[in-house]
Amino acid sequence: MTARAIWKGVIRLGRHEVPVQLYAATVDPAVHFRLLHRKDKQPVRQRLVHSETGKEVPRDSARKGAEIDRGVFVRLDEKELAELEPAASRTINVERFVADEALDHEWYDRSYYLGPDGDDKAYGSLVKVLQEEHKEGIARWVMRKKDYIGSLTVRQGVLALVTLRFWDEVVRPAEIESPPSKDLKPAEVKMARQLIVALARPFDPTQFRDEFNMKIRTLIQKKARGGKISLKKIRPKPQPPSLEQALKASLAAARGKGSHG
Amino acid sequence: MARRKEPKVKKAPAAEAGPRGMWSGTLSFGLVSVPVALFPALRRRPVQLRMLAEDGIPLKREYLCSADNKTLGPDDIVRGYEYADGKYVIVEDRELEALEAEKSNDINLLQFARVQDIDSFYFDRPYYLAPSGGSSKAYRLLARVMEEEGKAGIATFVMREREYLVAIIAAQGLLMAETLRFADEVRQPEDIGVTTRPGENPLLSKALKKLVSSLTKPTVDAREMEDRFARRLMHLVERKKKDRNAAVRFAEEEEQGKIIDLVAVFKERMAKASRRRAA
Repeated sequence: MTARAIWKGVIRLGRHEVPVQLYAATVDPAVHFRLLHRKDKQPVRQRLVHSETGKEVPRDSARKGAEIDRGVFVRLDEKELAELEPAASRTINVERFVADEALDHEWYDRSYYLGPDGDDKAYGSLVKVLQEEHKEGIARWVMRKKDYIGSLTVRQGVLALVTLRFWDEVVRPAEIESPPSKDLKPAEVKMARQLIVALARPFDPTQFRDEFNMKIRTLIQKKARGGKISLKKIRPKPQPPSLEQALKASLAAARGKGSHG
Repeated sequence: MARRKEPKVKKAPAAEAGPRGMWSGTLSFGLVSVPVALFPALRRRPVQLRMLAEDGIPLKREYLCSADNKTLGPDDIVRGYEYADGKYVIVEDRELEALEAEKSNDINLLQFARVQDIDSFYFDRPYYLAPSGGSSKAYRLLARVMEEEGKAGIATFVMREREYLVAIIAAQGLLMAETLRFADEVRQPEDIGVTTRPGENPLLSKALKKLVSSLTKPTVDAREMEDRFARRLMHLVERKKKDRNAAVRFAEEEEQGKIIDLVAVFKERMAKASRRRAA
């Protein structure tokens, strides 16, 4: 399967340029539903209506505004909104580098591969330097009239961009007061640590499947054939007596499993 | 970025992320169960754009049947899957809920992986897990040990009729839940035919190496991660606020989903647990 590039641009690093083509690195295999009218099983459509009068407003005569306070809107006209848009550009500006793994998980959003677009040697140089230095570039660019910030990195010898979230978008752990840990008993800490070590495995995403999605597909097929569906009930979980006892029992179980392979 | 794209009909407001969290259940780890509630770790943009009518009153979405053009309420609408052209199977909420009933109440950590071994391509959306009910001791124990070991707990669970692969990651004594993409959602370079040719430009490599070291910093900061569009929008709105003709007041009946103060949520929940301990 060969995918089409969704965008073309030039990575700019100081005075140097590396032309690239951008490809989406993620896909969505989930089952998608449509909304239907229960009575006649016909698809539902949407329309926009005035909140007070309930009258339909055609989409192209809708205006835009900003809610500045609960229930207070400021009208913005087309020209003002157009002025807010970033200037169109094909440049991916790399402004800074950080060590690989300097950024925590909460910043990463959506990933793209970057293929070479005409200058294979420049591309090769950038891949090589990022790999050897163990660095990620912090880049800014404009794509489809939107500002993006992203991490420029390498996967399997191929350049990649992972979009990053903006600063104010993320509630960072440092903003929340850390809970105390003085009352934790050394024995509990030790057992919890041993339990985690006993359950440690290399991360292998191919081990996990979206079983729910597969079950939805089976359910749909069954219903399409006119089959009957029976609903399962939830069993409540039994609660163990104390934290220390639960840790002890878990540890014994995990070790038993481990020694048998 | 929600991956399921079909339009959402707002039903009972209880399903919205209130101070109770958007999901609650237990985090289990061996035989230890930790009651938790899940909160988004992402904020909305400070100024939201809305669609307005010509007179400045906000527009709302209405659902209609495409056949008889009747206006539909939440109870008139069902989920359907088109299995053949124009033919739909109706799938009810309770049928989806029953599919993985246990997984919708429990995040069962069956394995732990090094946080650094999880490729950033898999990270989808961050949440916080706050302790709920009873003592927070097991929560704090798990958070502390996982953080010291640099390990993330890996599990799958069900929330809002969707299954998630999730990494539970501890940071500063708190537990975060980062939903991960499943392996079949992440493409490999060969899947999409990205081809690279070996070779480099040695002069350029040398120059880039120099550039990389001169521009390296330990981490990023607020200024370089700023949402510049949001800042421009904020400035525009500040300027226009004073213009009486531009501002329109209209209070909607429907609550738009309260903004949760996570700092307060954690403070309250941790305090509750320690008071109970002291008693």
